[in-house]
Amino acid sequence: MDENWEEDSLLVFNRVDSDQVIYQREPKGVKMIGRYVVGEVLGEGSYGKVKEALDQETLTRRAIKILKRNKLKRIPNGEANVQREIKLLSSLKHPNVISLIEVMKNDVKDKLYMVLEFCLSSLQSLLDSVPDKKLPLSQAHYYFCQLIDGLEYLHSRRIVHKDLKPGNLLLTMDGTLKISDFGVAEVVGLFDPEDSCQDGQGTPAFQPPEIANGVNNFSGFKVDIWGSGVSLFNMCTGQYPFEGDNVYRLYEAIGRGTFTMPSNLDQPLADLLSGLLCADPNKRFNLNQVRHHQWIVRKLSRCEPWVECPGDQVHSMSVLPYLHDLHYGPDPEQQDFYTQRQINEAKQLAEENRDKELRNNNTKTSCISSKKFSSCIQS
Amino acid sequence: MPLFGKSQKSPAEVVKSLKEAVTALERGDKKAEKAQEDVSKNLVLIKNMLYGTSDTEPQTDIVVAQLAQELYNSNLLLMLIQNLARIDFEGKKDVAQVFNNILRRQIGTRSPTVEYICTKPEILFTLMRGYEHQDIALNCGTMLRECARYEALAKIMLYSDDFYNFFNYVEVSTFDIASDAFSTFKELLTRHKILGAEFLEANYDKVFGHYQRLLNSENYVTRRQSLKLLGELLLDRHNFSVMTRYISNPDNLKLMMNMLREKSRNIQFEAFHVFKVFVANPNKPKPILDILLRNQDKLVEFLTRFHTDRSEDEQFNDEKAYLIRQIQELRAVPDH
Repeated sequence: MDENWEEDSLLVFNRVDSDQVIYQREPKGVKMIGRYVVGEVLGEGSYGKVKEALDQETLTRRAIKILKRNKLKRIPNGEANVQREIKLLSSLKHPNVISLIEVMKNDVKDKLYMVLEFCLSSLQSLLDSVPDKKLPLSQAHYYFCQLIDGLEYLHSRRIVHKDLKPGNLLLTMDGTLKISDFGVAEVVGLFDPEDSCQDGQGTPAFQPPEIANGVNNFSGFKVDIWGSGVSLFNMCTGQYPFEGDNVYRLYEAIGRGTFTMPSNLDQPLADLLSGLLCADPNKRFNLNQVRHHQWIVRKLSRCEPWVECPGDQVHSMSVLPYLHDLHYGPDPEQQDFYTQRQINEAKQLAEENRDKELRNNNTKTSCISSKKFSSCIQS
Repeated sequence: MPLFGKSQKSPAEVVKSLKEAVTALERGDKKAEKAQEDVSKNLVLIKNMLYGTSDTEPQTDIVVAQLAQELYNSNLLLMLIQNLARIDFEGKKDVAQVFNNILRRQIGTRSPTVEYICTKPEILFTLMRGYEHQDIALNCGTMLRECARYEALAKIMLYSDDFYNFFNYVEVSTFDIASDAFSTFKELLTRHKILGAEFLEANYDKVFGHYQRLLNSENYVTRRQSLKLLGELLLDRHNFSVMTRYISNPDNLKLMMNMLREKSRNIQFEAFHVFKVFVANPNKPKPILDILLRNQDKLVEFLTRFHTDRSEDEQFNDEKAYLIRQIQELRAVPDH
């Protein structure tokens, strides 16, 4: 190849007007995974994405966790944790534990699909959606009681979750809490008289003093009690009992085990929190004590309005446009390629139409929408 | 206040006239038909106070509190249950609805109806005996399960002599009554984990003596359900000491080995989940070890061919492979 020619060509800039640039239409074509029609992305993690989906046979909304093998390999214990999670989840059945509907593999794409119950958001996103990052007490009570029910079930099946936190507690459309993410969970041996665990891989801010202090053997069940305590503290106050600029400072603070109870909490709640967040695992409450605690037993009046799940008010299904594509095919009027000028024209036309519609006071909404997240559940 | 017709009766008045009607019904004289009508009418009034109707709201907390107080003072809850068989079909359902609503009533941390029933356990025993009468069994069942949600009431029922009647109720020939009784039975044993575990530990011999009969029942459904529940109970962490006791008894192992060879594949499968615990036990007592050793080759061969079509069920196959390995590696403990 002639080197001079190449050098010359680098100096040549061809001018192209922006309205001459040809774009390709964003493909909104339907994508299927097994018998599921796939919708928009619900969340993204280090392992891959979670997408909304619709089961074509049962017309049930689902969430599909898409795991990419090459991404998993980069996470320490990634593949082993997923394998363990699948094995655990498929043996569990409880209203407050996320259910795994099925697992599919695509060996060509090197992907693994976990089809799960559909949830609207995590407790964490719910907390993040309000300025003071906390919930009305009656709402926190409602979720915490469900967390305790789910946790009792897990412990009766000898499972220690080890990573309880609002980010791993999901909420369904009807306000049911689901414990999820069993990536670092551990199963206590059937014949082990003690529930001792060796390592903690959970989220630092939710770890108990025994893990922060690097104790070799600790009671697994009490780790979950602590995690539920930090979660309750967080839900009720919008803060964390222990904080630090980095993990070392944080673990130092947790290791000391002393925290300040906000003075505005009522006595039963403060008492429950200090029982849950007791630095000595032997003196920390067990589930039975939590269950019978007066803050749990009592009925809380719902004076404050509850925080609603963030997002679109009606929580409409993102699978719909894809479903349209599946059954009616792509719009033949629609071009596959178009230029900036055409985009501008289309935008202008759309704006004019919208103005017209607004004048006619005729605001159209989607004809199919899912049930609104009810804020009036009986507590 | 309605413009025409009588103004609404007060809780005291409704309870009083309902009590009179039930008393008349109980006497069973000539006016029984009229009494039955009165009972149903007043039950509807009470139900509407608690639940409201399509055009009226439920009554205020104060009225409901008065109503509850009247029901306690008049002993009417017990009377209604004792005379349930004499009340008409809709009335029976209304009794259950009224009972369950009043039971769920809560003031702060207190549940006044639960406290009331604790002082009148006769209510619970009458409800339990309801399973002996076909026409009221299912109504009593719904009330019993609502009671079983409360630990204090579940405890009274578990520790009563009448509890052992459940071993008969779950086997009666009417299928829906038997399965209703079974779900109440299961609820009592599993709902409150610590209570259930303490009860099983304290009454181990008596309960499992009776339980053996269920596992040997002529009735397929009873056998299958009770075997499944046994597996759930033994594998529940709360029942750890009950499990260790159960799996040290060679008779229990023999029973499970026989059930592995039952005609029904479902029973075989459930039995597998109990059998595996005997084998996995790292501290097998000598009698258990002896049985396994005596049947070592036969068991390995049997398990290798056991439910081979469950290739999809990874967990089952893992467990089966583990059991086969365990049995192959069994060695007699030398006598010292």
